[in-house]
Amino acid sequence: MKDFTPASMDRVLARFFQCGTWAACVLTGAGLVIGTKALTAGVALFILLPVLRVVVMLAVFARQRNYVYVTIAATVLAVIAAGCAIGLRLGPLGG
Amino acid sequence: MSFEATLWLFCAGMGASAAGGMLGMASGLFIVPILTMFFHIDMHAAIGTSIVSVIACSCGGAAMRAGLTNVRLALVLETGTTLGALTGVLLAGIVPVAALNFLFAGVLVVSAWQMFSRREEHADMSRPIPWRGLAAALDLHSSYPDSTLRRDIAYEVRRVPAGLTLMYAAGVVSALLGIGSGILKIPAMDNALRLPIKVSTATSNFMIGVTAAASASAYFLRGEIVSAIAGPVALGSVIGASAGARMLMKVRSERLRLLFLSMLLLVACQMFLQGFGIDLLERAGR
Repeated sequence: MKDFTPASMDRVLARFFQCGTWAACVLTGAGLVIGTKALTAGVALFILLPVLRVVVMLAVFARQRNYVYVTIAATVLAVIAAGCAIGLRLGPLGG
Repeated sequence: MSFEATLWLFCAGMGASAAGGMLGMASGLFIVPILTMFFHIDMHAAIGTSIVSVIACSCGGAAMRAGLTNVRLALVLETGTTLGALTGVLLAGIVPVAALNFLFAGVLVVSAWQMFSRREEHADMSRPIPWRGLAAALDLHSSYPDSTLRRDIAYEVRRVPAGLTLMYAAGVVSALLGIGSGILKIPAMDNALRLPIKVSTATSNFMIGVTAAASASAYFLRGEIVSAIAGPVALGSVIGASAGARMLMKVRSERLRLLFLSMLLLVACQMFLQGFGIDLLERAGR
């Protein structure tokens, strides 16, 4: 586990996040001009960014063969997926 | 939505996030009161918007601070916060809006108290390092570079189960109120896990995005997030948060701290009144 270099992982995550934020901003900004669909896509991308970050972390840990942390990252993703399933099934509040 | 309303929402997101960024926290504490007070948006829609804004803030403001974030610890604690968020999403449908208002007021008061009593570094680092425990098994102990001493300082993580429990509670509150609840993570980080302040701040900021995403995705699929409101606020938040984080480096005056402290208490009063169904602005307008 000592071959793990936190600095390199930090850099990968930071760059990934910067690009993603720009993309979400551009999409949302365009949505304000051209209409609701792009706007919704922009908001969805904002929500997806942190989830994608966990996916990237999972991939990095998998490459290091650090299976304990692969499991932990997978658990986090599973909880988020469960939240999505609940959201889909329950439908809007008060309706 | 009219152009004017969109513009105002954008400004609200920017202002709230700049204020939050200057204090080193997310915008959530300000967004919900602003939306319910000035825009007369329904509480649940305001919470949905706020949680998206919190994610946007964590994108814009929290650039990863080199070496300070304990990524592994963040991931372990995220299991707690996301589970809490899941519980919060389930509770959101049951808890009445008035109770949410009271809870919000309570969290604001706690935040003001946290800001009033500064955080102190724990001197109690002399106890023998517990090399067994969960923290050792997960290889959580780490070190961070100290800029003044110019060397790496090793630290160890304590009482992970207690920390996880507190994180779960923070996750519930985060999902219920649409806040980042970074301020509620501080006690867990400082008292249970005994982290150095710099590390706990960076790690907590890192976790906010995922916690918020867990509840935001559920609310989004539930159709609770109105993108015509959330879009402009999120866009404003990214800009405001990065501006606020920059100002944090320059401004650090005592007066500013007191100003925000009184602002938090004022908003707390407003949310408390709102819980009783009293709308001050509407009364003044009459």
